[in-house]
Amino acid sequence: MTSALARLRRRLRRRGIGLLHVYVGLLLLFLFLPLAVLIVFSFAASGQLRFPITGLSLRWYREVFGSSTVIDGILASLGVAVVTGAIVAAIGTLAAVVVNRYRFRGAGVVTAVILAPAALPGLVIGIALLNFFGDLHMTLSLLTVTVGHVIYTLPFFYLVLSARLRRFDPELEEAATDMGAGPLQRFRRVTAPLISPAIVASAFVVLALSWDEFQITFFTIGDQSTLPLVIWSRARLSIDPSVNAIGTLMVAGSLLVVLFTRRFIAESYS
Amino acid sequence: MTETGAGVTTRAGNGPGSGSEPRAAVALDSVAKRFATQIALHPLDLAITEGEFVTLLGPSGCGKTTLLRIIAGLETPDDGTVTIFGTDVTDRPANKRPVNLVFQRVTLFPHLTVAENVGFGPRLRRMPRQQARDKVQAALDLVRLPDFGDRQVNELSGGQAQRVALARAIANDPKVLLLDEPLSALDLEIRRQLQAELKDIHRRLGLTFVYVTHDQEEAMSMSDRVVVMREGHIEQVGSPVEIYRRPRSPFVARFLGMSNVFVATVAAVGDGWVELDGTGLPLRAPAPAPPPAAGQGVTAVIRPDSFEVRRATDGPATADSVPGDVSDVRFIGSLVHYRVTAGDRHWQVSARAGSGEVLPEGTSVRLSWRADEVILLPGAPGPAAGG
Repeated sequence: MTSALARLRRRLRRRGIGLLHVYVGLLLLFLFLPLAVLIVFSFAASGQLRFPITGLSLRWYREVFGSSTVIDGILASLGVAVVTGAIVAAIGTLAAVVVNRYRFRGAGVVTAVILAPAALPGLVIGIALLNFFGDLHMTLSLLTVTVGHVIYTLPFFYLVLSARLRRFDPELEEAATDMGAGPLQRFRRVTAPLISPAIVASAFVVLALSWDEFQITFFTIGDQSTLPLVIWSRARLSIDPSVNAIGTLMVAGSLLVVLFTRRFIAESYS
Repeated sequence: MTETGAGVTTRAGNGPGSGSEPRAAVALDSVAKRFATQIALHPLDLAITEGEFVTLLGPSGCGKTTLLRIIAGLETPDDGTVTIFGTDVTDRPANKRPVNLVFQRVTLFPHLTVAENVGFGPRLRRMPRQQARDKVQAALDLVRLPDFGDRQVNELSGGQAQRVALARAIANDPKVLLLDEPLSALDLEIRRQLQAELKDIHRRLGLTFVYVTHDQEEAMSMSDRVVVMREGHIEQVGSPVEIYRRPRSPFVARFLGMSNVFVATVAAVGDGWVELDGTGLPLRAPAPAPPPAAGQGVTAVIRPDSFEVRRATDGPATADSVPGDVSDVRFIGSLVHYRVTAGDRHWQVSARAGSGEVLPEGTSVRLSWRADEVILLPGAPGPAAGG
């Protein structure tokens, strides 16, 4: 037995594969097997979620794209994500620049307030917002959902951008000032171009977080449903195989965002 | 290089504007600065004449960079006024001052090309496109990088980057160019080369340069005038020759590399000479004005190059020389640095190496010196200079 294992190790090593490679491979398999199953079932011909699948078809995708609730959900989620991303990018950039560039009394408090939602359970934020909107007599809608998403995603944006700004050489801004640039020109011509890859990358992180946010959305949603809520309502009563198709689409979308973002992150760290 | 002290004046010298002398490019009046609990600059005055190459020289922490940044407007003085070509700019932000700074570290904008960096100032001032382009090209020609306009900043070597930084500052048409140890990060060879080029550029543009360095050799070789600073004070101002030949304090003497700084007692005064006691050598020095009294403690300096050393066996022992032993030898090419032990003391002696003999350690020697080059300073010697 041991000699067989030793022989296997030797054979693997000859191909440049160590035990660490095997370990990492198994770990990734464990993490991604459920996703693989989801993707495979999304192409299954029958409604029975059982291996082996009996045939391939696109019927679940046809059903998904034929369903107006799903399409509406996708549009609602996209809308909320894009608006959230834009608002967070604007607020977050200003906050990060102000806190990191201009040391002032209470900067620590500002940072703590911005970061707090990242540490709070989404459930708590959701309930708190529900009460808050109720007190204000606000009708729950995609607008209230967006407010919730802004609060929830701002810390992530702020952290990524602050990390970039800490690596930003303040002497570059001094050089710009020395060359005759006023505060606004300095930001527009030097600071903004240099941190813009980080802003875009962080905004895409926000987009991805908002896109599949469930807990806060659940408490602040009105008549219109976002995609995660559509899935939830479909999967709640019975396992609807079309959920697999929606899931696969979401995975594909997230992958695209990640690949796109990686380019910007690499650039912002160059 | 001249030896007159008209260009830069301190509180001890003539105040600025005392007559129809050349225009003052920069005038600092009682400028002081403190950071938190630390005093960076004690109130000081300094006037820099148009077209001059002035160097602020001192060890790290002496306030030279703070002073430069105050002129640039990147630091605000707690007290005093900064005047540039007659205009009080104390309360003017850095972007509204007619000066430009070349930083110690490379501060080129990494998202812009070399040409865009150099054209940064002209474009901010909305100069017409063609005129700005000509300006950029002229500046790049001046720093000998005429074909580098389209390069990316990260493709440049350290020396090239500082040349571009210099071009960027010059293209902005400053009335005074400020340089904060721009060469300190570069290799010795490139540093030497750029020192020569900087001096050449200064000559060609006729611009006022204020240069900061901790390297006394750099300061001496480039400047019209050197301002030696220590702990937020100006210690001495003068031409390189002046401060080297007549250091006003032990600190200046030590900082300029004169290691033979020692305490002595005045034994006798007379006829333009002061006889010194307590040094182990029969020393006398030209009497300073006013002459010290007999019995008074003084600090004396002998430059290493004021000594001469020869083998004890070469010729007879003369009255103006003392016996000694070579206790250390450092050969650096054109010069040999000896440590000679004579009269219970170590003396730093530098001799021209030429093609003559380099005396080995342990050699018995005769040590002589030029008495007229012995320098007397008032008071006791200060702590050793850093570096």
